[in-house]
Amino acid sequence: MRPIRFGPSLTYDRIQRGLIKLREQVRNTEQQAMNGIKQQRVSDDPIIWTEVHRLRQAASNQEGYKDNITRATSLLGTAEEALNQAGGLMKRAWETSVQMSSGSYNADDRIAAAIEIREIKQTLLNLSNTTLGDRRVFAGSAYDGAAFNEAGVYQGSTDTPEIRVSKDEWLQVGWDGSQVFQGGVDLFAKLDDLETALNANDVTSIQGLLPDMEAGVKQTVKWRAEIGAQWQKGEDALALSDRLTVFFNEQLATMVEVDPVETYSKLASLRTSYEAALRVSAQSMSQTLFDFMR
Amino acid sequence: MSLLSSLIIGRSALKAADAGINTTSHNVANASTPGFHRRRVDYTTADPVRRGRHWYGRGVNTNELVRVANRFVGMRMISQAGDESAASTMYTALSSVEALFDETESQGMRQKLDIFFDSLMTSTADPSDLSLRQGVTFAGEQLARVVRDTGKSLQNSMSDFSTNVKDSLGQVNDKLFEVAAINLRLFTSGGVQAAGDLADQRDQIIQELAEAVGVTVHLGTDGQATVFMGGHAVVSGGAARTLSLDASGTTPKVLVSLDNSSLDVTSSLGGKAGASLETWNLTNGYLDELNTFAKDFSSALNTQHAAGFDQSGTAGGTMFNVIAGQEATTINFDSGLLETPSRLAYAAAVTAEAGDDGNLQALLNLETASIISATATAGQWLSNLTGHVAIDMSRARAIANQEETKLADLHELNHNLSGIDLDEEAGNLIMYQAAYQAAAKVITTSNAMLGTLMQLI
Repeated sequence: MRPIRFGPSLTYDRIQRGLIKLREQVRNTEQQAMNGIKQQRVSDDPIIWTEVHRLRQAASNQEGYKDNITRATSLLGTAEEALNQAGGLMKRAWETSVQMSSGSYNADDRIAAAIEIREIKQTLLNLSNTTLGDRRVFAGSAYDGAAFNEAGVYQGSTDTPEIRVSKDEWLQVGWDGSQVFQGGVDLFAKLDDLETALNANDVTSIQGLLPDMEAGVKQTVKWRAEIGAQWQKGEDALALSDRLTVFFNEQLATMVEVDPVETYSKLASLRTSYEAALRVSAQSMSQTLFDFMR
Repeated sequence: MSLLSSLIIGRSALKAADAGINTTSHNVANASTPGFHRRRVDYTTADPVRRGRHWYGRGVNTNELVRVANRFVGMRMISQAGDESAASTMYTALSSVEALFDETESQGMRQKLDIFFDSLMTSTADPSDLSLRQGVTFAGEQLARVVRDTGKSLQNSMSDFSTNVKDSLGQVNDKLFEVAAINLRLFTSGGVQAAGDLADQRDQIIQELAEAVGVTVHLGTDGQATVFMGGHAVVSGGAARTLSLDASGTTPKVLVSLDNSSLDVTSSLGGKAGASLETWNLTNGYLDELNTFAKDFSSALNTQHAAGFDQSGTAGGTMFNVIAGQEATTINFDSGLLETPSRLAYAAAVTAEAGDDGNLQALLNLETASIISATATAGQWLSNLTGHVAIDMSRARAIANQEETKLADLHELNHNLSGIDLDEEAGNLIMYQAAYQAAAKVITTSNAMLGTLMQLI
């Protein structure tokens, strides 16, 4: 049987290889513990990166959608409040027109009412040019300019802007003012007509404008409801985005992040093994027969 | 038998013990010398002589110093040294390339691409918002920069690999001539057994050659080593050829000088040099993939951008600039757009209302379109590239570990056959010392007896 020879170079090579492997394991585990990531290099797990990239992209998209939803809900809130006030104004105008259509009031009463109607119209015109920042919410896509001029002529665009809030969903965040304030019933024109009729103490004309005033109130309510529907859509999209963000981040964590308890336990165990290996190596290198010869 | 015969026998024993002690000392001195093979002394009993009816011994013959070497294991060691060297070199070289595709800090190309498309998506909230437009130009510039930096780093790595080969060939050529010189000295010294140290030295150099360029060797019966590369002898007897690197073409080549020409041995190159060139090829492949990405991505974005209109109603210009053939290393985001984000052509109509995002939507749709080589989205292409690097690196690591284990096993086998065990040598020293003392005692005893005899005369 062939003898097994252990020379200093062979012993040293064995010890060195073993220590290097242990040291590398310790180092890798230390890196994992420090940055919390399983794969310190792409080659540590070659097949996961397509899926990791997809999840990162999906999670990143959700953050973008949430930012967009925030912007959208600000614009929706602004438009909704404006239409709420517009509805109140039209209701006041309608009530005034109902009162003044009665024979109980005289010409002076009607002149005073006309002044009120003129103020209502001016306020309504201001509301039609409501802005959030520099953006007019009732100017369609041309929101960098006024929606209506002083004369109540529409200056904006018939296109309506939308904001993307998920992969396949959009929220309308701008409205064609010519539809909101002049589609169906031209609120400004009808208020002008009412003012004229009141100044002229023309009860017949005032009575003739009553259906238009009522329709104007309903028109503002209808558009307010539409904006409310967009708002709800935005809320639903935000809730979904929150859930998806959690889901994608959990999936990513499973694939990429270490379990801290497991990692620290492994690190402690490896460090103990490494210290033991160092001690044993020191012993192995020390003794030969030459040490015992006199 | 006479007393003089006893003296002669004692002398032969003394000489044998002396040779044993010298050989043991030589072994102990070279216990850690790389490539050293254990020596032992070959003894035979001297032929007996007949006197009358009896045969009398004549002591011991100290024949020759034997170099304990297993030829088959030696050949395997040389071959495996080349394979292990190639595997570990490829692993180390690819590690430097892998570092360019770092995913741990989320700063890779894929992340920058996602950020760019995210910035476009955020712009849908208000296409006229200057700060959102600046976000797009910044993200575009960052994407171009990281692709460009990665491309240049890949190119620099390839240059380094090629330079490493060129620098190493100088040392390889020196070693080839050293082997040839030792062949000559061995020839005049009487062969491998007669000049074992020269043979050890030569075999060590051949192993280093195998590690450097992956050679094979044939040992003749006269102890001459013929070194081959890919079937061509680069050392034969006392003659050696030279190797050189030709980096003038599209791929580097290693050439062996012949009498009036040169021979391309690149395909049969092994060791560190072969691995460096193989890594060069792999890295060139990654650069080609990145070039395809940069070319097709910039083309798709530019075409779509040109179909839209900016805030002043002007048709869109180039978004990403590249130089044909060097797309990955030259891609950059258009400086005009970077300085003036209002020139981003988001609008579909020349009237370019503030909220007109028709062309912005089309740009955004490119994220999910198969715009790279008509087969993959931009994100898929970059993910696949990362995957290729990861798989190549993982394979290189596994092979390096395997080859290291195989070489370690061969090294142990070789050591068991030809290595030095200090305990064994210590035992031999004790044995030869005792033999020397005993032989000296034989001589002194024979001498005393002769002296007594002389006094009688």
